[in-house]
Amino acid sequence: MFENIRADVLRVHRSTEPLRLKDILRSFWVNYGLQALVIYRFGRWLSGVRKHCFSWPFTLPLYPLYWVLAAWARNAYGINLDQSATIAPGFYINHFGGVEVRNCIIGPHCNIQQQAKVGAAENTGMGPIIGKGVWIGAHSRICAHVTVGDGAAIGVGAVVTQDVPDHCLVLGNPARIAQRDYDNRPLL
Amino acid sequence: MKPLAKDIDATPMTQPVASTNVTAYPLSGLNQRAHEQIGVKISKDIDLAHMRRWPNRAMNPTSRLWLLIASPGLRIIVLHRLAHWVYLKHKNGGKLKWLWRIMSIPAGLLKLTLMKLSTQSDIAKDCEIEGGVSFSDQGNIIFGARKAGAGTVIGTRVTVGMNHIDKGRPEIGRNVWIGPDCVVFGAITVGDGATLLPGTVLSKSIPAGVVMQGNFPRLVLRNFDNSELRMRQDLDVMQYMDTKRES
Repeated sequence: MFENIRADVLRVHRSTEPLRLKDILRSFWVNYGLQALVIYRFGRWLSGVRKHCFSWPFTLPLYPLYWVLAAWARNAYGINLDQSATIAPGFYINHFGGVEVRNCIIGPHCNIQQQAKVGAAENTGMGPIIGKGVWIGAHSRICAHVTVGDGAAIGVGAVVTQDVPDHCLVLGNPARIAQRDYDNRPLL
Repeated sequence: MKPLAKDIDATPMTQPVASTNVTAYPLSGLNQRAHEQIGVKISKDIDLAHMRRWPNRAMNPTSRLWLLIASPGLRIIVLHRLAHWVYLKHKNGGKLKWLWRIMSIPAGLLKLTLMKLSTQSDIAKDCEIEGGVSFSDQGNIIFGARKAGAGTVIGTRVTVGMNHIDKGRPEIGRNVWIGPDCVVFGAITVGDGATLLPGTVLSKSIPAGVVMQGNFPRLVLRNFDNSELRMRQDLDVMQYMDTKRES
């Protein structure tokens, strides 16, 4: 849990240098996405240690705490990171409001913005698989069982319905490839 | 440096010579009159919100005050006015700069509790919004335009301007109607009286009086009068636009 949170905090500061305590506290205060992400990581850690029977007396009282915190993030910030999603370290949520992530696998160093919906339709159950270093723009929807390649950039307001190759920029509704060999590193 | 002729002409004669308060924001006018101005701006906001919410009700002080409590959209714009005022005081301030730095803490806390956490919307503290702008009561608005003109109505789940990565910020004209689920980003200008129908993703400048729709945006109508859309909340927008398109 703590390695993942450390990677997330470093993403907020866009650096790999060791941070001072003041910077870390400030990033938690300023960045609501980071708070929601820590709550999500806490829930994942709880379900991870659940398989060891000896930990039950210690972790079971923490479940109500997790539920309250997750409800806070969902209602106050509008960031819903469901436990069915698998999010690799180095995830960054840029603004708050309307972020839905469920039933999906997200690679490291991804970036998501406000009002973006990543997940599955209720009936299929399996959501998208997103590669490394993907930039997901505001108001975009990835709600099908598709694969998004490494270093892709999902444009603002795009609705992805087909697989996206590596290092592509997709735009529009339905999403079409606007540019191949797109470098999204300045965006991340 | 000699001032250009057009700079001299643009300066009103009654304006006193500003010695220390050289403002970087010519639109917000003189620093001394900022307090008056935000009162006037808030009053215009209340008027517009009142006209939109209760078209048939008389506008008396009681109902205006009640609207200030009841309407989240009005609340976020009033809080933005306060935070922007404190920000300008700190930015232009002389000796009392430190005081406004301290005052920005309660302003930020008010914004956090009453704007961000309750309506999930955020307005950047340095964007200049003229008086008489209405935000949707449903919230979820991220607003970072450089300027926004009077009479503009902004719907729910709207993003205007993006983050620091973006090269520029949009400039929104007067009497613009931005429908729900719209995104406006980039260094662009939205002309006066333009209409963005729901779900538009706009990244290029548009002239005055046009109607845009879609992702990618397409031109629907030209020289369209959107006062019905701006003044009425209970309108079925798509049906209304269909009737307008046929006529």
